[in-house]
Amino acid sequence: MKVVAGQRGRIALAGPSLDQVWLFAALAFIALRALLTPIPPHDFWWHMATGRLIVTSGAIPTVDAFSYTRAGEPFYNQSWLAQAFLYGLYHLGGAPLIIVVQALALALAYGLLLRLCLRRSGSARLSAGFLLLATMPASFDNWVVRPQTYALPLFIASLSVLSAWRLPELRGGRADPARFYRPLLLLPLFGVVWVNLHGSFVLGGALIALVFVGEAARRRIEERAEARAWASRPVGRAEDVLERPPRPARPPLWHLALAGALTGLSWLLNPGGAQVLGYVRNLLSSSQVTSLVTEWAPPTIRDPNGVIFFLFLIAGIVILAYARRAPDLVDMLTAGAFLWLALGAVRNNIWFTAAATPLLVVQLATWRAGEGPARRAYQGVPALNAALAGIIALLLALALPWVKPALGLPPQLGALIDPQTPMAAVERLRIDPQRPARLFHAMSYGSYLIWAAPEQPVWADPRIELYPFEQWRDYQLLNSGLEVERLLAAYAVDGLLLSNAEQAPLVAWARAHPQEWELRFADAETSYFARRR
Amino acid sequence: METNAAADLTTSRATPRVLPALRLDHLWALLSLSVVAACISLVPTSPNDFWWHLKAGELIATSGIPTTNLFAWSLPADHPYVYQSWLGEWLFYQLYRLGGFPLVVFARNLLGAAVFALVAVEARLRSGSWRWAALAAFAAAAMAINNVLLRTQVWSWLPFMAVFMLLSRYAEGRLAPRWLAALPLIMAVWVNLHGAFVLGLLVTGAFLAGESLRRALRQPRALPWSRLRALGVAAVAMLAATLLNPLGPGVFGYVRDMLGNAPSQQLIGEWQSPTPRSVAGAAFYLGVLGVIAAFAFARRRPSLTEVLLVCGLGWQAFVGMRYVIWWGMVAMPIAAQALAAPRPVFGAAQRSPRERGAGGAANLAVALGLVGLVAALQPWSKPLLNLPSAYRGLFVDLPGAPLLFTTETPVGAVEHLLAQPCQGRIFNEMGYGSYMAWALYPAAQHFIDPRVELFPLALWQEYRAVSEGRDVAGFFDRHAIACAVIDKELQPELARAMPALAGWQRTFGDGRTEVWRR
Repeated sequence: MKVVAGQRGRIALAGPSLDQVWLFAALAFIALRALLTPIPPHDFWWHMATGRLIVTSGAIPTVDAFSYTRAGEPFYNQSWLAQAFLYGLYHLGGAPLIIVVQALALALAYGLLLRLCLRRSGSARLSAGFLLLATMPASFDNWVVRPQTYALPLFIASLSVLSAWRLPELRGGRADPARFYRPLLLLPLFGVVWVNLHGSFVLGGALIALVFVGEAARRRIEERAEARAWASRPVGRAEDVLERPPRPARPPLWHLALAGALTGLSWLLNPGGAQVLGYVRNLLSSSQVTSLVTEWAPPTIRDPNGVIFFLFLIAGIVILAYARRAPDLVDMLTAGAFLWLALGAVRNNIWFTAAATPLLVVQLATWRAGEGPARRAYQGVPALNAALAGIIALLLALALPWVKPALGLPPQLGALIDPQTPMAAVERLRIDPQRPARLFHAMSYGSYLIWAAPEQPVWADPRIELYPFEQWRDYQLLNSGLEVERLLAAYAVDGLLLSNAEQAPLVAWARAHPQEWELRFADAETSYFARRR
Repeated sequence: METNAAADLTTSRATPRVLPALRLDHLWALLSLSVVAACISLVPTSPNDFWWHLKAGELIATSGIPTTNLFAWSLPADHPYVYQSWLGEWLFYQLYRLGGFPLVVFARNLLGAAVFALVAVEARLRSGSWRWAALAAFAAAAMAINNVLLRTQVWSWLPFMAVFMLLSRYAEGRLAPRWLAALPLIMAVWVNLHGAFVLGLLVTGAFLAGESLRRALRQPRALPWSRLRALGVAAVAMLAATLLNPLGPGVFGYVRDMLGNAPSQQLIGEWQSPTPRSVAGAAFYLGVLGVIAAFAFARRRPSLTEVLLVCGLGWQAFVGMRYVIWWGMVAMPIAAQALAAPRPVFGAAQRSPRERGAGGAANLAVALGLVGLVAALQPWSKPLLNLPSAYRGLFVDLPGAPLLFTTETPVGAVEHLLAQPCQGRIFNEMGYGSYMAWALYPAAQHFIDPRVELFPLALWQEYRAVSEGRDVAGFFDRHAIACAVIDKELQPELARAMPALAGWQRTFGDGRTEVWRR
């Protein structure tokens, strides 16, 4: 602890201010959430398996090689870069490194968002508090280990670049607005990486388009208002004609249009070229995806995450209603567009909350504006601040995946791999001398099987769009224990690897037919049956 | 030389005004309401909720309020069932007796036009602008377009708007406390009309809470405590008025049971959260975006009460599509109020001189034309219009009700069953059960009908399985079904499975419906 001379001879202790502790705490708790979340089975493993295939074969697979129901069918691996990265991390440091990088990626993303909010609102505590109490709960259901996580920092970075370009308070008055184009050059660079990382790359283009339209509209409205005000000014002096205020210096819109065009061209820099756009279009229009996958369904207030989303919306309405000044038009347009996106699918919450957070923080900051002279917030006692930061850092250290397994935490927090992952059952399957050739299993198990037992073709997996709607219909019937004999015969299934929770009726059916189905393994999560020969 | 004002005065003395002072902005509102009324008039009536209500109304009128199942054999006939909307059902039957099916449908059309006219009036009172009122009414109607079905809920529309408008004027200080006496009177009728009476209590509670908070925070133009006390008394009186129904306080248990009924909450679309994937859902969420923009850019901040109403009813709308209609009726006028005084960012709208002043014969002609158009779409005249065949094809040929009820109404199949009665139990499509309750009962009972809360979840799951063609033979054998009335469009898998069933024969078929007998 450093002792420095303060004003009037008082001794002041240097240490973190309370504002700094707030900022650190915001990012630390975001990272903590990620560190304490075991890797769920759904998407992670098949991405890893594809990454392994890419790295070992040197080529991106273009057909399905994992299932026996769709073997050889074309499948577009758009997220190849993220898949290879995931595999590389796993190869280097296993699941612990994956989890740490996940935490870092989220901390980076929300750190950028926090920085943007802080620069726009001027309030560290408000920015940090809103992030922790509103943005984080509304988003963390989407913080799953998968390629989307690596796209999030690019999305927020794009938002930051665009904000810095158009808002004079973020340029700091240092640069001539007409020459402030260099940050925009980052956008096509983001695009090159993003288009190979995850299908959300189109959102970068959407951001640019929204800012362009909003900024054009805002400038037009301001120019018309200024022209009206000038036309209705009181006249009487000769100098009135000469004193028209100059137009505010703004960066030209054609800079943004050019950046948008370059970003669009950057999307072609991927192994599939222009095909990547067709992939996104097909994914969005896939009836399997939009009607069967819960995260592609609209949010509903009937589940906890939907409740949080709609509470966020209600809070936003109240914040905007009582703000002391009008919101920025571009902010409103951007947040409104992403709100519409989020209303269409749960998985789009994460983009909406990121886009809306700066708007709501800025508007919330105006609630206290004009209440009197601004006072610097109490910054606490540096020693106590340091202690608090130290405690938070200690929590982070304890949550590290190399440390937390020794703490005896409940599996939902302490495990690295989600306990629902059928590791023991698949291990049993692999050593089975009479392994089934055509296994039926839970969808998420398919993802793990692809990774852990690549020699075992799967019935289906979370690549929803690969399998036809009818097959997913059969999946639902089987899970419900309906038309079991007909469907198992139709697919020539000779093995069952079932989730006791998700497929309880089918598990009960198999147990009720011991003369046909032999139970070879069972634990709390999984049951493995094989057809008796 | 006379000034313009003097000239106007001279002119007005020389030519007494004989035409209504219809201005262009009036016509905007009239156009909007005409479109809304026309759409409501054109909406075909599906059988689901109407017919069994009408039958219940008949029973109420002839033998008193029933208290048991009656219509379906899948439950004991004396299985308890609450006919909470008994007054609404009785009114349906009285209208039917007076003027047949056309009069019943016309009543729905009139109620729909009236309620959205009230939404426009409320928006006009709040915003001072008929144009904003026109937009508010249209937006409210658009998000409710899937909820203008002919059922007892239609009787709740006017009481809801009456309560909201009365309380709004009271909160503005324009009405004396004696007007609050109307609230318990409205509630005494409403509680017997439909279960949405609870909304009247919620809206009153929101006004009481919001205005009390405004008073406590000493906000400008907040109601004095004396007026708040009067409002509190009125709220208590409303609550007491809800006891004036056959169930007494048990009516709240009925509402609670409805809201927690598993089949309704799990299986019925209108009880699910709205999504932007439907027209009405998209209109609702556009309305939400509109309210957000209105509150953000408004010069006049919404009051605490208004925010409570918009957010509270909005939360309810997020829960289920069937609540969207109430949110629209409240939120759109409040949004119009905010938008009518926008911040300079949108610029101050200037009304052109043409828009001021009384309209001439041309405006009146347009107004009469719009009214005439809507009148032409009413049940008695609609069949005479040269409507597209695709539209006509939506309707079933029901004597005395041309172009009123959809082809989902199994008129022909029921006539067939009346002519050749089924010698046992009848399995039917859910919506068909409603019409069968009207046309067949008491001669025959059906399997299931849209009284969703009456039937247990297990029965609904069985019904769905059979409708999807699963274990049809087993189901028919277990329940000793002798006849099946099937909707080929809604139950295609079942329709495909029937020919393969041993011992079953099709005895009736039209474009949509089939009757099979064992």
